[in-house]
Amino acid sequence: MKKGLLSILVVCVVALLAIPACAPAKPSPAKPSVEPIKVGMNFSLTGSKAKFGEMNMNSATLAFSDFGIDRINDRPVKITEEDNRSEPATAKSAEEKLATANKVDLIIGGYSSSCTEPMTSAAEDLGIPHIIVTGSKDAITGKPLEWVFSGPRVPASHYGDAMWEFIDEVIIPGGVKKVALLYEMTDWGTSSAKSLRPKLEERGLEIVYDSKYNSEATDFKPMLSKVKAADPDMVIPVSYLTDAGLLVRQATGLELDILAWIGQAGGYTMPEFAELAGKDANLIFSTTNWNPKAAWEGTLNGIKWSGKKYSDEYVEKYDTEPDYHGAQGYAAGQIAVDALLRAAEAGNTINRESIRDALDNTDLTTVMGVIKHHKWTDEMGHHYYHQGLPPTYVIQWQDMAQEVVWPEDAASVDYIFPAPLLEQ
Amino acid sequence: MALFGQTFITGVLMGGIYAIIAIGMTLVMGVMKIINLAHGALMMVGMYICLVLFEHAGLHPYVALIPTMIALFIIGYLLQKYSIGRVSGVETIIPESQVLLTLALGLAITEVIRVIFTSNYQIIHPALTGEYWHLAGMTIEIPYLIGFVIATIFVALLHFFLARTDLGQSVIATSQDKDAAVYMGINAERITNFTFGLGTALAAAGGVILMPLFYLYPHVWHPYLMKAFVITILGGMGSTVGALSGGLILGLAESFGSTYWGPQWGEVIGFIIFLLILLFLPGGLKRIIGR
Repeated sequence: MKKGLLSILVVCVVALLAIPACAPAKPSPAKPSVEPIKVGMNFSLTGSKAKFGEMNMNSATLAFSDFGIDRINDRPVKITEEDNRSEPATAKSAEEKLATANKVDLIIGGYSSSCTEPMTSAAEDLGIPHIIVTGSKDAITGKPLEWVFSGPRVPASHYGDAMWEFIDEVIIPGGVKKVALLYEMTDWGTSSAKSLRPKLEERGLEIVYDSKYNSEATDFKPMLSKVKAADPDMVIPVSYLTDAGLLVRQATGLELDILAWIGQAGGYTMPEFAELAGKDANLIFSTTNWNPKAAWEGTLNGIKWSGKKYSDEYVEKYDTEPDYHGAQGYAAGQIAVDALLRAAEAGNTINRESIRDALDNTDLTTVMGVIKHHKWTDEMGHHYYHQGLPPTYVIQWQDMAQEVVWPEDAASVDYIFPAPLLEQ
Repeated sequence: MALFGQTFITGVLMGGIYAIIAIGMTLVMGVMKIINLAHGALMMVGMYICLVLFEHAGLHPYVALIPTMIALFIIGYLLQKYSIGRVSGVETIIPESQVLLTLALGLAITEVIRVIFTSNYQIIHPALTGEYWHLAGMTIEIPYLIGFVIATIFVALLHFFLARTDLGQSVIATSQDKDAAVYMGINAERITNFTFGLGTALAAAGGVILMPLFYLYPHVWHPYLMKAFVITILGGMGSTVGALSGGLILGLAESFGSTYWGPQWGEVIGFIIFLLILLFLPGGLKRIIGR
């Protein structure tokens, strides 16, 4: 009985669905088809790097809404998000999905280097312009790729540009001779360590401990015990967020007696670092690529912006302070908006080719400073293509707040040195 | 010498905490003969309950331990009764569908927690956090020491429970031969539900012990699930002493590996031991030390 009823129901449904197909086609009024301009976002929204990816993406979308470009040339601007789950393989498939299934015209994305590398190589293969946000491994823009643009990313070898001046003028004269170098073991950490080593050695600093580590470990005391036994004057770690907080807490607990701890951005500039490390965060130095106190400001699409305005807006909207990862997301959004507007102004159809050409000529002041996509070679012999170079700073945590301490002309307070872990 | 001592202490303390997380998995594996891949996610749920109790009721994690364990016991019991138990013995398109179900549960639980609490890192600073004892050039983090003591007490209590109580004997009987246990009048289904609840409560205890030491975020459980699995194989399914020994061996291997071979080798050494046990001692340490 039940079967019979089910068969009747199925026949009815099929018949109902078939009726419109049998009806003569009505001529529908000609509607101009307005294809939206599609912008894809490929970020780590879940997984171990979600905190960074969220900040990247929140800021990039904030830029699109701030500069009011919901339509260009009568075409609506549509943003499509993809979560790469902080996994390289997913990052690549997310890029491919955006390019082929969603058919976006431009992709913004890339927090960790290990995800950025596969996503940019997919972008190059598929011929879609990609603006990198953070992924900093030197080699990512070390090849002459046609469709990949650095955006606001800082190459790993240049994270410490401001720090070297600080080391030369403050740290070495202050008595530091021996250094411990610790770095997380993904592309970013190893790439950073590779560039740090020769620069430390050429300054006559002896590297007494040099090791990579797994940033997802929960107990760093075995490694830190070895660091302590090596008796360094300074520790230079390359860390993400949880490892940054744990390293500082556990090093303080082990009474590591040093004159300075200088983090290489990453976790050390995140607002959560102070929460995670507690009072032990105080006096920690870090390089950074941005600070809301940096005086970058300008006008885009007729709308005035500044680093401070962006920071305030982010706090208001997301109830947490952004760090340089957020500023990079916002700057990537600014670069994308600028490229789309210039492509439209040039009278071109906005498509992948015209966006690529506009990005090729990017020379824009953003919240991260001036970004110019060009080809250049640094003093270490690294070649970069479509790569800008935002300025860097040294911050120090003082009274649980980040203060810019170097360069001197950008400093918000005086630095405190020596800065031991023990006397806080 | 101080370096050796520090490495040893760190390894032992870490191992104790690994053991309490793993012991729940080993119990479930012993009785149900499946790997519970939701074990880590349930540990993480316990950590979030502890967070809420700390932030809203002001309960120190060591006090919140008991209500959190009770809550997770109930969650585990109900999950087993109404979810995992339902697919036991049911014909499905692929074998071991219970294992896949636990994986799906783990992922679903993680996403639900992420929606409720966001991906943000959460940290609490209860009393004793960041407190250390310094002794002859060595350092002992007090919350680690307390965690180790709590873990050891739980292992001892569980050992006593399994060896000396009727309910414990029923758990052992069910793990040894479910059909025979049923013939002897044991309600194997209820025992399985109870064991799953108990295993989940012990996972939660491990998570709570971590609260003064570590951060909390929805994916916090990933490395611990793998360690729990290694310890379960290392110690032998259903063995309490095996789990404690496995935890200590893994903790010490990681600690000595990190110190003397480099931090990147710590976990590699743990997995090498895992491989060696699978190859040469498939029954785990249980074969050597008994229950």
